[in-house]
Amino acid sequence: MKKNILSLLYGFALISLLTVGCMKDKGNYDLKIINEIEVGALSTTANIDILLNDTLRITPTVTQNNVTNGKYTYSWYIFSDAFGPKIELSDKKDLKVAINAPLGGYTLMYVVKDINTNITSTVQTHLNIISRFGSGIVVLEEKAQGGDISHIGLDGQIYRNLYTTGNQGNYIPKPIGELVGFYHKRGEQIQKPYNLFISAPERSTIQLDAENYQQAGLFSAMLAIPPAAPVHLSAIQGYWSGNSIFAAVNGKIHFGTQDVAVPLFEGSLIGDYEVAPFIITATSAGRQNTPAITTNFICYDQKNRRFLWFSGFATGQLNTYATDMSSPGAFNPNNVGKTCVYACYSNEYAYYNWLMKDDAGKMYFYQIYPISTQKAAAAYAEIPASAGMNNAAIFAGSTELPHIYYVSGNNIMLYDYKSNTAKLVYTPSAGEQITDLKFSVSRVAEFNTFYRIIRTTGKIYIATYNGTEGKVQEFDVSATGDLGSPVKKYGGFGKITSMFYKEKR
Amino acid sequence: MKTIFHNHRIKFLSLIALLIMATCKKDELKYEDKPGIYIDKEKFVGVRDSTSYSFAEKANTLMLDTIYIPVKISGNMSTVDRAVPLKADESLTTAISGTHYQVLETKIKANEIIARVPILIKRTTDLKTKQVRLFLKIETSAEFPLKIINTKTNSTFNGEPSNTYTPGYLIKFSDQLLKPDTWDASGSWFKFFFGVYSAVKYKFVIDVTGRTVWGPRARDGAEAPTSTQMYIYYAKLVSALYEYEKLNGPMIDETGNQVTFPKL
Repeated sequence: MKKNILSLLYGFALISLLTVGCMKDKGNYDLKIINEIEVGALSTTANIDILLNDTLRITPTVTQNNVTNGKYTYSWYIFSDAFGPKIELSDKKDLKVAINAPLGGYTLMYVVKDINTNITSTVQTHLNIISRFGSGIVVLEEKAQGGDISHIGLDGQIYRNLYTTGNQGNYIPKPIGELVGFYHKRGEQIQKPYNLFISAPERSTIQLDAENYQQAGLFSAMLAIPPAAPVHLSAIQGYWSGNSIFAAVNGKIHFGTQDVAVPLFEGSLIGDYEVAPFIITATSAGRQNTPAITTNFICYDQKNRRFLWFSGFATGQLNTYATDMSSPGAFNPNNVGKTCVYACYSNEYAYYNWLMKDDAGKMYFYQIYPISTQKAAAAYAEIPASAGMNNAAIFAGSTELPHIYYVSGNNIMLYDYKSNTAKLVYTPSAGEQITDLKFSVSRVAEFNTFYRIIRTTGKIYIATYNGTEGKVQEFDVSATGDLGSPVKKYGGFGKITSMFYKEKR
Repeated sequence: MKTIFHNHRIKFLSLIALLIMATCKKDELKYEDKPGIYIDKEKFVGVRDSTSYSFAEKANTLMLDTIYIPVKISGNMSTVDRAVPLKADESLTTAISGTHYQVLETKIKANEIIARVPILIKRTTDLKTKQVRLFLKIETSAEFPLKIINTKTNSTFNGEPSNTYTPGYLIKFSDQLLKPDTWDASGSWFKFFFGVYSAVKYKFVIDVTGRTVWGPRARDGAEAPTSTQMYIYYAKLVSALYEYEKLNGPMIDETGNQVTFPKL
């Protein structure tokens, strides 16, 4: 009997424990509504653009429900889109701080915390730190004392005397030469200004700090194996795929890599050649049913008067084209026999334009396709003498239209290579001499344009000089290539020898 | 029977517990604790049984160098220092003790299990024309009586050691240019950047680059070049070979083949 009673008690205790374990929590806690902090929007737009070293001022509204004189801590900080470290800006309620973080995109964070309750509110917006000189037209001008640099912003503002201001009053020695630049095409570097150089044949090319136009050393520092001084850079261009970069230096092509903050050239391409100062790196666009590009890089050998090509991921030998003539092209790329005066990308992807002059001064149009057989010779034409191109020294090729602009006499002419005709499109005012001609370009190649290389856009800039003042005139290029009248004019420069178009991403 | 079990339940349970505990008694291991010592080949990179050394790859002023042989004991640590019995196997050695090399006396220190034995190698004039061999082996001694034949790597594949090492270690040295042991090793930058080895090519590489110390596979260790340096060396080499061929025609190596570099 006693044993049965004990068993019942054990059973009862077990069932009780199980039952209690399954009890539902009624959750009848004493909940109170907190006094939330409300912070107003940091910007009326989704993004704040701020110039490097400018002061960013933001005065946000901070309110807290049922609190009038609350005590808070504040924190302003940014972190970069490239997952850089957090950068503290301020611990004050209102932001007023000079922005000197590296150029690029950031998330701006603002955190407000109630000291008494630790109730916190966080708001954020996107911040772009941009360079004052990230976009616009760089103007290299000759003055009585020497060369200087001005910058025309895309908003029309002109910044003058930048080289002398940035270099202790020193001028660029005469002859001042021309501007040569390299556009980073990807990675974090794309947010930076450019590698910009001042190049003159008589002296070693110098690099400019593209943010302030101070001298930034010699270009030769980028060459692992520099040639004997003076080291003269005449052209520089990256390849759209991979990280190859090419530079024409003292008549040789140097090969390097661009996916670093400072491009490094490992060595020169070998071969018996003296390169014309034009670099074409093959373009692609992922188009269907097109032959595979086999010549990543194309140049013209002035010494042996022939085209050469290269494809590889390290230095090697420049190649001539196949000699099998069973399937000829429009000409023999191995035997052109003329002197190259200009080269540019065309309005069709993977076709590249070359203007040649023979010993008699007659001009010719050649077009090359990026393959290594005779079929690379895509087009050839003898340019009519009426085009007046034989004495031209200033050219600008369009990638939107089949047009090459050039200065003939003191006129701007347009050569249409599809029809092999030329026409006059602009004559400056009497007394104004044309000194340079540049297209606006898109810094970042867009896939939907079928180009993956720098391409021209719809504006052309013409520099003139009247003996006392240099001017820049901006034209909108029409659908037919005509220029019409200038849409903007900028003056007050010395004699402009070279312009370089910059555009940030 | 049921009554007996109930009456003596505690005793029965205790007996069963004791039986169970008895089965768990650990059998004391009995073995003879003889200490041994072996060359610790896990410490080597690349080829682990031998190395080639050439004074020709070093500065002209270097007359003496040291190669360290890592050793490790088997068995318990000792409270006293013990001499490492690393000796030259005279039957397999052509280098002359004292003239070409010297094995410096080394001890496994008290309460330690490893040491490095310095082997001094000397740059003598005869090494310009020949390569000598020094075959090192561990001998048994009073302090390390256990003879260890082969050692096995700690790393395993499918539960089996991935490497088994023989007990000796061969040092080949000369004052001639020798093929680096790791030229053809997997992932070797020697092979990737310079291609097939030949003595003529290797001398050309050293002459053009000015570099004599490459590290294993030209990519391992603190002395190895960076990939950027290798690309620059490659550029110098293809350019220098091009210039050489313009003046002299093809460069022919000791086997009669033309010296070339791979296209990267």
